[in-house]
Amino acid sequence: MSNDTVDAIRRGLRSLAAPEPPPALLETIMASRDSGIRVVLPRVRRDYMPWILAAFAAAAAAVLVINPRGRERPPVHSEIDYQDIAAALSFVPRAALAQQTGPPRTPRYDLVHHLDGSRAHAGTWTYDICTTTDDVLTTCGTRLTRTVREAQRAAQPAWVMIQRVAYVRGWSSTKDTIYVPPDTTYFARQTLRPLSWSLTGDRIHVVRQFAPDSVHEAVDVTGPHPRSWHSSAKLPGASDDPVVLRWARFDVALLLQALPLARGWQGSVYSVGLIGRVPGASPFAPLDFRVVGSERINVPAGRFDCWRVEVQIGDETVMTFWASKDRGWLIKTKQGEPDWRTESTLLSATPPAP
Amino acid sequence: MSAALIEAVRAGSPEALAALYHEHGAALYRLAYRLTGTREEAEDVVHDVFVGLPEALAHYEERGKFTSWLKRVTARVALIRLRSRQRRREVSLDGADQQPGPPVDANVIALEGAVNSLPDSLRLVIVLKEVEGYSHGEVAELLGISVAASRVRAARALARLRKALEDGR
Repeated sequence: MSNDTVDAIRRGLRSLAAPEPPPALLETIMASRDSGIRVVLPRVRRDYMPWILAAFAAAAAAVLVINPRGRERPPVHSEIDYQDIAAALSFVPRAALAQQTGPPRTPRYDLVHHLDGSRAHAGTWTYDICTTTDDVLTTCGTRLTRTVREAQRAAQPAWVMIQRVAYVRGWSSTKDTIYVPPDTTYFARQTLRPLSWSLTGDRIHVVRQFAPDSVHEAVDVTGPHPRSWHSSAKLPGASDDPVVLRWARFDVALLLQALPLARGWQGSVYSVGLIGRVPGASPFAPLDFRVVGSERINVPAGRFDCWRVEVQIGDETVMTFWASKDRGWLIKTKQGEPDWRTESTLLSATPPAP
Repeated sequence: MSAALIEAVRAGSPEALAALYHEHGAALYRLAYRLTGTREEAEDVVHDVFVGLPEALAHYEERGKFTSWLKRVTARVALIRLRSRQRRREVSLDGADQQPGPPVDANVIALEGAVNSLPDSLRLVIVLKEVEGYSHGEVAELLGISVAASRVRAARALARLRKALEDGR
């Protein structure tokens, strides 16, 4: 490429016009602040900072402050702004939030019925999570520990699953560790259907209660601008069908222990997105599971013969995971896009890996 | 930018925030527009930046130029939005018929189209480097890539732009 051509392109780039902001933008900004909306901006520091983690932190923080979107930006009303939580969950596929108009999407495969819950078992599993950006920057340092033990819920046998996440802030000069508030889920021992889920953070408390045919959700945000949302929805499928609490990779872990994975197996399970009051939208989306291969893989916890399973939501493959053939343990997950992916691998397990 | 004005914004003064917007809003909007490629998202970015600014200023260390800090925050918010739209390219740069300002000639339209057709990974680098004037070090820091990667992508972007413009003749 000649220098003249490059210079011409550069000059052209510098002269490209860009529009002016709309006249009402300042007014909208002021109205948003007046109505109590707050946005947590990413920190900009002079030392090196992997921005994807900053983005994650900002997105997570935005969940707490209810970051609105949309052209009109009406002042927030407690009746309508629940959907803004969904908009703030930047790193969750929109489809996974199941906030889509109309009834729930039709499952791609037959719905899974009547799981054999006796295959599930207690234990503690710890995963190492790494994120790679642009095939250049790989950042590890996030640990997730999932503990499952026997419990009682409403005088019925249950499993309780507690997930804890800790990550080291790689960009911090002190390399301090952030602990995400643990979340706790109770499952029916026999059907592995969730009974309740709760998460308590500094300024947010979320509780989701499952009845045989419905789910009720309560979100309470505290702090200078407290808000609450309570909503319910009727669950699709039969009352003892398994349901995935959320779409996230570790939420399928207990289910995996009981799914009849085998070569060529495929099945669908409804997942619960946000229940909130989005008019005409369904809070449920089917997760479509398909066994696409068999592999022996090595992870820090050992060598495992696994089924490779793809999970789709609609037409999008949202995750691939590897489940051990013997006990259905979640051994490895992979999800991402061409220039951003995240992988989790089993670091240790109790009972000890075979 | 006076320290008093920054302090007033930090303290939550709406008048000070408006003054800050009048001073920087247009430039930040243009930056956001060039990074996101749509008016709507640029509007959202600037909205979020200014709504979050009073609290964010608590972390502003007053090292270096305030304008630079503000642009870096805006760029980061824009990048987060780019990620969040899952590489789903929406309406790009709004179409020439809505372009404001000076007369638009065929070369400009062609260049805009070519820039728009670049993948985000290249477009971001070329916009930050050539349009906004960041150094490769700053681009690398903003995008979380190495300086070498920034150089490589800028060169690739220029090569693609050149090819696109030549093919279009």
